[in-house]
Amino acid sequence: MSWVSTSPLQLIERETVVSRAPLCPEIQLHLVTHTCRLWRATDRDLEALELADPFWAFAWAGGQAIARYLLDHPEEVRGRKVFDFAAGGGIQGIAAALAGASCVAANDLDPIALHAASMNADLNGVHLDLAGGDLVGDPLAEFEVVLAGDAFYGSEAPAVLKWLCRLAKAGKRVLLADAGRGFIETEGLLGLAQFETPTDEDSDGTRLRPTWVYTPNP
Amino acid sequence: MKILVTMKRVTDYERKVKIAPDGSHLITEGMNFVANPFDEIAVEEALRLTKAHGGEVVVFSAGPKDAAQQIRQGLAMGADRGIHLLTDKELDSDAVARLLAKVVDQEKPDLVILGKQATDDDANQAGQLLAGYLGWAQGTFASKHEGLEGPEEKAQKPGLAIEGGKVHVVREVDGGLETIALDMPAVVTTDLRLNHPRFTTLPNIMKAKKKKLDEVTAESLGVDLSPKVKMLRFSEPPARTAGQIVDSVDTLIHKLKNERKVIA
Repeated sequence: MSWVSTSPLQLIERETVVSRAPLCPEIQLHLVTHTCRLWRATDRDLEALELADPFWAFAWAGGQAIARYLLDHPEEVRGRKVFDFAAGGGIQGIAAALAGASCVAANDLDPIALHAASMNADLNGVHLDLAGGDLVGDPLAEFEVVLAGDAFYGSEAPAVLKWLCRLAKAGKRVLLADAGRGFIETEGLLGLAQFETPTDEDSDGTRLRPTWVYTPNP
Repeated sequence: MKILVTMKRVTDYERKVKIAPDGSHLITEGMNFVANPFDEIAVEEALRLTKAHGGEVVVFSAGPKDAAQQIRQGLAMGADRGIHLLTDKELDSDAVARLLAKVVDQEKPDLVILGKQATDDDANQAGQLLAGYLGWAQGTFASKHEGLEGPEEKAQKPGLAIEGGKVHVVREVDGGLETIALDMPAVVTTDLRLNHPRFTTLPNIMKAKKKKLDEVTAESLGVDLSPKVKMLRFSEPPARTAGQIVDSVDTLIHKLKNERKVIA
């Protein structure tokens, strides 16, 4: 079978299965699981497919933690306007919509992620507005809640955290998650909840990673 | 618990190695490089130990820029972060052991697990030298109680086990297995039958790209990399000469006796 893709929609349909993340069985997602050929793909395979790393195809620890937290604490978002930063497949945004947010915008740099988020929203009977491009630094004037599930991996992490803290100072409710990878200082953050999140790290999928949901200290 | 493991970049053992015509060095242009298979076993064992006991796995490699690929492979298997000693020099086992001793000083691991040897030079020295420099206990050629690895085997007692502050190592020795208990911190080297390293998967390859990989230099560690072992010459094994077909057993015996002189 050729790796070459046609449209993002067809690619997502073809390369994923509808599945559920362990922490959030309420939410259905198009995910790459061990039954999919992409599960065993290498960088070379992705190149042949002309596909950027498909971060949207997996339910990462932070997104699962925020989604679980929102489903357990719907009052955080009920009736409010929510911005989902680095949304990937949109698990946090979908959880916010299910919890009663008045509107949710999913933002990601990867256009395919926005397609995936939209398709995932459809699976769960909710709607996500889609926002492409790099919005780090934007005041996000029209939103009341900002979610950042898996935004702290790499050298840009401290700048993203600074921006989120600024948004919190400006009066927005900011919820972010960190799986203790060490890219951000969590000292100035208030821990709201901790989850033992299953990861894809070991062959039997039983390795758990403690993942915190934080909000910046006022 | 913190475990330091090594991941050496070696020439692909599935490809033929080319030797320069004057025998002075190996021709590495166009060669494929892979992770030393014994080091993959070390990473796998470290991941199983930290899964059971909690803790962190740190992958170390010394080599050129591209050796980062092998560290990333260890990270994609599930290790937490990497340390890359950048050098274009050929290192002997002693230099590697002295580098590792410095890294151990900084990282203070409870356990260092290395492949028993690398498949390129087959030296089988770095682990033992490291234990010597550190003054630590060592368990070399860590193996397993039994050979085959199925789900039942995985559930059995592993080759490396930590109990009561000691690490128990099942060692492969001539004619059988020996079990020893080492005070920690300790150095362990892995033999082939210890485990079957896991395959990497796409989510873990992606995750590995975002994990921390610190680059250090020998100068910053204060280690002199000049080799104590000098490589004098490389040579290929002698080519096989053509065989002969003989018409009778008597001729065969005659030739073996009088021409080859291999029987009396």
